Amino acid sequence: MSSNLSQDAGPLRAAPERVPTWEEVAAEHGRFVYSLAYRLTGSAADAEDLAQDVLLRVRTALARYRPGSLEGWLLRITTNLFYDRMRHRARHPTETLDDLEDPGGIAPSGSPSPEETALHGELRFVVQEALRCLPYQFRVAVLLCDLYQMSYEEIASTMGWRLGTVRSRIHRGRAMLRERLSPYLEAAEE
Amino acid sequence: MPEQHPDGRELSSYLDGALRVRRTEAIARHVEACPACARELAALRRVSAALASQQEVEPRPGWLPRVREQVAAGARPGSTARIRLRLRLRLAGGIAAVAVGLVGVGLWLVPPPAAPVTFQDEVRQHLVQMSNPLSDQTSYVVEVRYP
Repeated sequence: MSSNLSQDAGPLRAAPERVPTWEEVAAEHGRFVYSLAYRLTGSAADAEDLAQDVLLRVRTALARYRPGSLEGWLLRITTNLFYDRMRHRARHPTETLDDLEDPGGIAPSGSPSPEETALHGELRFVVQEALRCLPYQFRVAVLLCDLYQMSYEEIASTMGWRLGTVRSRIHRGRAMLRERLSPYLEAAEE
Repeated sequence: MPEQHPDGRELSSYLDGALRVRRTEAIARHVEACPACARELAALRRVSAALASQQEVEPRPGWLPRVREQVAAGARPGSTARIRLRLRLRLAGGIAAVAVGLVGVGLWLVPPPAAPVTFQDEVRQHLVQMSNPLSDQTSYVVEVRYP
C-alpha cells in the first residue's frame, strides 16, 4: 500500500523540485494542514491553533527541508505535534479546560435514526463525530491508514511506533468505530 | 473450515494488504469458506471506506490571513493556544466571581424571615391602638382565643 497524500492536491504539491517559500507552503498547503488538524482535533478552533503552530514551525523548519513529498513532511509535523500535545495533556490534565468537555455519544436521544441520517447525507458528520470520540492514539492510526492511505511501515516511521503497535491501534480504532457506526453504515448501504 | 479463525487484528491487516504472502493466501481461503469471518471483514471494510470518503475541510475565511499576521509579528508556536487557555481560565474565574456575587446580593435582598407573631403581640398591638387618642376607631372588640 502506498500513501495517497495528494488525493486533493495537484502534482506540484506532492513533489516540488525546489524548496518552496513559506508563503507558497501556506497558500498551497495551508488547507491540507488545516484539514488534517481538523480531523485530528475534531474542532475548528483547535484545528486553527494546531495548523497555525504547524505553519509557524514550518517557517524555521523549511531550512532543513529536502525536496520530496512536501505533504508527507507536513503530515509528519502535524501529527507529531498533535500527538505530543495530547500526550502532554494526558500527563497534565489540569492545565486545560478542554478535558472537562465530554465529547459524549454520537446518538443522543432525539437524534435522527441511522436510516434518517443515511438518507439525509449526514453520514460524513456521524463518521467525524465517531472519529472525535476515539482515543487519540487510535484516531491518529486510523486516519493515517484509511484517510491518508499510508502503509503500516510509513505510519511506523512517521509516528515512531513499532509495527505491532501500528497493527494493534489500527484494528482497535476500527473496531471502536465499527461499534458506533455499524447501524449507520448498514443503513447507508441498503 | 480450512483454517482457524483469524483474529480481528489479522483481519484488519489482511484488509490493508499488510500480511505476509502465505498468511494472506490462507486468510483469503478461510474468508471464502467462513461466513462469520466474511461478515467481520465486510464490516471492517465499510468502516475503512467511510473514513476514506471523508473530504478535505475548508478553514474559515479569515484564518490564513491571521496566520500571516502572526508570522509577520514573529509569533512562536503555541502562543495562540496559550493565549486562548489564559482567556478561558480568566473567563471561568470571572464567571465564578459573578456567581458568588449574585448569590451574595440575593442573600442580602431576601428579607429576614418574619418573627412568629405570638398571641401576646397581637393583644399588645390592639391595646396600643385603643390607647391612641388620634385613632379614628372608637371601639374595639378584642377576641381572644386560646389554643
